[in-house]
Amino acid sequence: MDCRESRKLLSSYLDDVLSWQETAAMERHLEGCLSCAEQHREMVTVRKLMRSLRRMEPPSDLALRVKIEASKLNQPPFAERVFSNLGTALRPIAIPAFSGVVLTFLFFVVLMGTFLPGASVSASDKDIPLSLFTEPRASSFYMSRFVQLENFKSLKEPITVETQVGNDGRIVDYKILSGPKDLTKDLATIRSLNEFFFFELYLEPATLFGRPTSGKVVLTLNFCPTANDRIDVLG
Amino acid sequence: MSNLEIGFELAENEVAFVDRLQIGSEEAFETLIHLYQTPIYNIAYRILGDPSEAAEAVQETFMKIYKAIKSFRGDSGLKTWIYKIAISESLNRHRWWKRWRKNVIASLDEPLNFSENGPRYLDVPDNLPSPESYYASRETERAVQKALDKLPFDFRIVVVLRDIEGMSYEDIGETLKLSQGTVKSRLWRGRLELKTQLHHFIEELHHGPVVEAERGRLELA
Repeated sequence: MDCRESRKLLSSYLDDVLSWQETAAMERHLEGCLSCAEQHREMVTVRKLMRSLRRMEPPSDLALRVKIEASKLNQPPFAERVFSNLGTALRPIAIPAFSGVVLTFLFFVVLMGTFLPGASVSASDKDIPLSLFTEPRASSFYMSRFVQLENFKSLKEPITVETQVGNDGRIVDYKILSGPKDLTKDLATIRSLNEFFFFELYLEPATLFGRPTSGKVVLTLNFCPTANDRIDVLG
Repeated sequence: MSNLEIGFELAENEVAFVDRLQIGSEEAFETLIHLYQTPIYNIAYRILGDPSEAAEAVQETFMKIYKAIKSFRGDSGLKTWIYKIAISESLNRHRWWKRWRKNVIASLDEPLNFSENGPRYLDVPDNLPSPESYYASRETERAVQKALDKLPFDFRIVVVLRDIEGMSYEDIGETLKLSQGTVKSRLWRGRLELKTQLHHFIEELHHGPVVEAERGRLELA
C-alpha cells in the first residue's frame, strides 16, 4: 500500500469497516510511514474532539411550545363549528314532522349558535389556561315524544342544573342548583328530567388540547309555553 | 419511568406507539417530544450553529411530524423518519441563511450566532462514572463548532450523524438516502476538511502541554 491509497482509506480504517486484508495492509503502512501515521493521529484527535462535544439541552419551554402549537391545529374555525352543530341538529330526530316544530327548532339552534360562544359558562374546576381547554357547549337539543312535556308545563320557575358532561357529549350526572320548591319530591318531573338529560340532550364535549374530555357546565331549563311547546336550554 | 426505559420499551412496541400517535393520542405525542427533543436539537444545533435557530427548527420539525404522522407507513423505522424530517428542516434553514448571508453579512468567517447567552450545556453530575469520556473546554467547543460551520452541508451532516450521534453507516445511508459508498466518501472528505480547519488547534494539543479542560483532562492516545 502506498501513501495515496492509505490516505484514501484513512477514514474507513478509523471506523473499522475495511476488509481484513486492507486493514492489515494499512497497519503495515502506518508502522513504516511517519507522515501517514501523523495524518492518522490527527484524524483520531478530530474524532475524539467531535465525540467530546457536550450534549446540548434544548430550551426548557420547547416541549410546551410544541404542545400549544399542536393544540391550535385541532380547533376548527368558528364558522365551521356553527354549521357542523347545525348539521348534527338536523340529523334524524324522533319527533313528528310538524313543520311548526321544525321551524322553531331551526330558529332556536341558529340562535344558540350565535349566543353560546360568547356566553359565559361556569368555569370548570380545573385551573387550566383558556387557550388549551374549552368548556362543554350546548349545541343542540332534541325534543322527542318520549319526554313527557306535560310535567314541564307546570313549571313556574326555571330549573338550574350543574351537569357533568362525558367526553362524548352525553350527560353523565347532574345536580339541581335551583328550581321550584319540592322539585325533588315530584318524581314524575324528575323522571322526565332524567330522560331529558341522559337521553335527549347532547352537548359538545369539553376539549383539552383539542381532544374531547369530560367537563362540567351549568344549564338553565326554561319552559316557554308556545304554540309549539319547546324547551329552552340556556348555557 | 426514565426516558431510557421508555426508549427500550418503545423499541419493542413501536407499532403500538405509532398506532397511538396516528389516532391522535396526546399522551403519545408528548412522549415522542420528550424522547426526541434532545437528539434532534443537537443535530439541528450542530448543523445550524445557533441555539435559537436550532430551537425553531426543532419546533417546526415536531409540527411537521404531528401533521404527517397519519401518513407514516412504517417503511423505515420511526426514528429514521423523524431524523429525516429534522435534517431536512435544518437543511432548509441552513440554505436560507446561506443565501441571506451572501447578501447581508460582509465577513463570511463569522459563524452565525445570534444568542447573547451561549448555548446551554447538559450538566453531567461529577459522581457519574465515565472513565473514558471527558468534556471539552468551552474553547474547544467553539473551535470545533467554528470548523463545523465551515464545512459544506453534505459533509457536515454525515460527520455529525457519525461522530456526534454515533449512527451506523447503514442508518446514515437510510436516513439521507445515500449509498454506503457515498456515505464513506463524504465522511472521509468531511473529516479531512475538519482536520485541515483544526490543524493548528490539534498541533497545540499534540505538541503543547496537556490541556486542562473544564471537567477533566483532554488526554491523547
